[in-house]
Parts: sequence; structure tokens; C-alpha cells
Amino acid sequence: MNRTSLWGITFDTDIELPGRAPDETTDVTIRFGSVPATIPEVRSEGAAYQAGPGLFRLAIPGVAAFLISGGSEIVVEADESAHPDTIRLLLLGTPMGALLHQRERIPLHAAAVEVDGRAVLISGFSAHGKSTVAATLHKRGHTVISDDICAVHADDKGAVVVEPGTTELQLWHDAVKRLGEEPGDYVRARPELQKYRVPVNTVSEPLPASAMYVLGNHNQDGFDIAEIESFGKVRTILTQTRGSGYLEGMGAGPFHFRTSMAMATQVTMKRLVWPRGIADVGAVCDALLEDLNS
Amino acid sequence: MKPIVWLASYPKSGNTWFRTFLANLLRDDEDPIDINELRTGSIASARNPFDVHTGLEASDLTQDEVDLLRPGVYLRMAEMAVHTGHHKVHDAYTLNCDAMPLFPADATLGAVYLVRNPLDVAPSYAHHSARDVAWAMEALCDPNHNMSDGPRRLNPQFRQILGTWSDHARSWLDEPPFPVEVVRYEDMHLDAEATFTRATRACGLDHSAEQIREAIARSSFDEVKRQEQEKGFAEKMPSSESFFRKGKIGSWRESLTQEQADRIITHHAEMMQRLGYLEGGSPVF
Repeated sequence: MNRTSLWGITFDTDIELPGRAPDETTDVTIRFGSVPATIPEVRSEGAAYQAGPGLFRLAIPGVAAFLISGGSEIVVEADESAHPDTIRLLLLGTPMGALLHQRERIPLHAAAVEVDGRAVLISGFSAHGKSTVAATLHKRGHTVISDDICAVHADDKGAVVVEPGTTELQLWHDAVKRLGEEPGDYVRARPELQKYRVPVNTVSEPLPASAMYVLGNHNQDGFDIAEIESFGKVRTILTQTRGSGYLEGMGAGPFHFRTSMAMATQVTMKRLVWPRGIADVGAVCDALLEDLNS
Repeated sequence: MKPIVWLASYPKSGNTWFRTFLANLLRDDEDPIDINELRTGSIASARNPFDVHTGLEASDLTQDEVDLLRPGVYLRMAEMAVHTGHHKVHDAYTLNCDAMPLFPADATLGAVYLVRNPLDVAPSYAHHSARDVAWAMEALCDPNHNMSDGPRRLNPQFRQILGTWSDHARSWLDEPPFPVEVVRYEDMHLDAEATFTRATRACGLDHSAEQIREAIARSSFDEVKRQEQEKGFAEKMPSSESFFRKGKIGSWRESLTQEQADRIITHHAEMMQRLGYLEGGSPVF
């Protein structure tokens, strides 16, 4: 069994994960086992999941099923044909998001990098360039705090912090090329996809969140950076939360609301819209950093 | 539960024009709707609704795995909808690896199949994709033609299996177990009121003749072209010059060589004849 730490949680796990040195006390066990066809008290159901108080079940046909219980255990039932890397990739997504809800962390759909000792979150829906922007900022010397999922909560003093997440970025072939690197130098995230694990320098302690940029694309020239204010911030946090459709069903609503309010108060939030298909991601990073400094 | 109406078409066949009309009809305002605010319903191949309704991130899945889950996503969308959704679709009507239709009858009220003379589709599709006409000719005749299936980057949309232009039309005309209303682009121009009224009814809407007339007027080609020139159109391909091009019938005569036109006619003769685009071996439009 491997021991590792991710998002401030120490895992004992049958599946190797891209984390860092663990604490002595185990918080969560990940093991292979049998996952029931349904959970007892379904309060929210989607095309691939069931959620209830303290329980979450996910099934991907022909690949794997996952059961996440009480914030302390993940059971994985893998299909015989599924490659171990496929299971690892899928485990790092939705199951971890559900686990974080159960452990009272908001799993934001975002990457985060360190700028001047604070966390800057780069959020947005799939295919809007989050990881590519984070990778470019990393190349310029900014440490990566997390990719894909950022675990956010208020610390003992009430400061909203981002916990150190995975120690790798997952980048598509085109994004690796944009960094001036060769995809062949990296391991694929799963054999069927041209998506690669790119190791990065990362932090070991949580950092206070200072700003969140929500990426979007448009068909016009130039960048558009607009502040998100008041209730728009709370709405944005919800839409950018992994599992926004089932968090209520798991009983995670009150924590999410409290933390969203704290985040809305402490963190600057902006929408950064850039031309779809732009080759120069560096220009996006320039715009982001310039805005941050202003 | 509000079953979905699919607005299905091969690309560049009047789908956006019809959605503009529908948005104007449902909005019922004197001013034409902003073309960047159509919101008739997301395209069926969009990532975000899939991610919301599965709880997954589609970018971690293969295209075949996505297709296995898509029918369940559309069922969830229909179950949770307060109003009937009118969702654009460019996929052919196909089955996934489990032999399940991508667009399940249980989630569906019906479909409007928008179709256009392939001779006019070819130059328009080429312009849309910033490619030459020869590329579009190949696409229209390629049984393996897909959209958004490049494996090296994360596309904003899922792979959409199209097949040839004839395959696409045949799939929507002959396969679905739900009602499919065929609407020709040419009839939207030449017999607008009757055609839009028929399509409106197929969308499950009972708007009056006057409302339909006014919505047609607010959705004119000149209006959408003017708006695109003024503020751009979010649905345009990044590399393409513009989304709205000529909006004319028969402009293929200025864009295709005789050899190119003959190839399309030869390849698609049966379906062209069936849809009234070919009579006695000659193009109707």
C-alpha cells in the first residue's frame, strides 16, 4: 500500500497517487473491492452517480465503479479490461471531488498557482485553457498549488486557503507542444488519450486565496477582463464547484454556502475572456498578471 | 419531465437560422434577438451539460465512453427540464457501442431535420471550416466523416459522427422511432410562412400566424449578418472569416466547377432525388 498526502489529506492507497510526504495519521483509505449496485438513501441521481448522506457512488460503464463513504474510504471496483492508469486518472477526478465534499472542502474546478505567496485560482469549464495557462505560469517560475481540483476551505483563523493538490499537470498533446516540449517525454494519463502527466514544482502548505480568474473564450480580438461582484461571486463558486449538482444530496450544502460566502468576501473574482484558438497563451498570462498587479 | 425537440442537421443547412427564428418567436419582443443570446438549448455535443448530469469530467473519457453515457444525460436533461428544450444536433442518428440510440425516444418529443441542397452545403461548409471546396467535397462523400474528433487537443464539443451527407439524411429520415419533420432550407426561403409554421408545430409550439410572421422578419439573413459584422458571433469557428456568408439558394453555380458538381450529384443522387433536389438527373435549385 502507498501512503501519500493530497489536499491536506493523508491517504493509504492501493493506487499510486501524485501526492507528497504524508502525515503520520491516515485520513482516507483507498482499496480495491466490491461496489454495490446502489446506495441505501439516494437523494440526488445523475447519469453516472448516486449521492446520499455521507455516500457517493459513481459508475463508468466498462471501466470502473467507485464508492466514497463518510469522507474516510474509497472502494474501487475496476473492470478487468481497464488499464491501471485509467483507474488512477478517473479516481483523481469525480471520486476525489465527492470525498472533498464529505471532508468539508470545496472542490473547485480550477488550477491554482502561487503569486507573491498567495494562491491565484484559474477556473472555467472544460476546454477553456485552465491547465494550459497554469502550465505556462509554471514555466515562468510560479509554483503550482493544484491542477483540475482545488480544495478550498476556511482555516482556523477564518482565512480562505487552497490546499496543495496533485504534483502534476494533465496536459493535452497540443498544450505540451505549446510549452515547447515533446509529449513523448511524458507518461500518458491513460493509454487511449493524448493527455500527459507533466510533473511540476509544488507547495507543501496551504496558501491563502487572493484571486480567482474564470476563463472563457470569445471570437473577437483582444482580452476582456471584468470583475464579478456580490451575488455573482457566490453563483460563480457554485457553477465552478465539482459536483454542484449533487452536493446538496450529500449534505454538503451548508458547508458549501458558508465557505462560498467567506470566499466571496475575501477573494477578488474576475472573468477573463480570450480569443478562442489563440496560439499565444503567454499573452493570456501577461494579461492575467498585469491585471493582478493593477 | 419535458421531452426534448432535436433540431438536427448536417452543418450549414439552416440550423442557426431556424434557432434564431425560434429564439425570436419564444422571446416575442419587437427588437430582434441578439444572435449571441439565442439560448434555445445547448448543442447536444456540448461538454458542460454532460459533465453536470454525469458528475464526471468528459475530458477523462474516451469518445466511445462518452457516447455510452450520452443517452442517460439526455434523459436527465428531459427529466429536469421545466420547458421543452430545443437542442441543436449535428450528429447523425447513430447507436453507441451498446447499440443504444444516442438520442433516446424516452427523452424525445420529436425532431426537426433541417436539410439543404448538398451542392450549396459544400462551399458553405468549406467557408465555415476555413478549408477549400475540395476538402468539403471529400467530407460530404466520406462515410467516416466526423466533427471535433481531433485526438491531440480538448475540443469544446464531443466527436460527432456525420458519415456522408446522404448517410446523415437517411439516418434522421428513416431510423428514429419518434416523429421527424423534414424542413428544407430552400423552403425556408421560398415558402417561409408555411415552412416555419410547420416547423413551429413540430417543436410543440402553437404560436399564431402573426407571431410566426414577425419572428421570421426579425430573423432575416440581413439582420443576422448585420449583427455578426457589428459584434461577432460566438458560434463561428475561430479560423473562419464569418459564420453567415451568402444565405442564398443555388450559389454553388458560382463556387463549384462542373466536375465538382457532377461528383456530388453522382454520389448523392438517390437522396437528392428523394428530397427534391434532383429531377431527371438535373439540379432543381
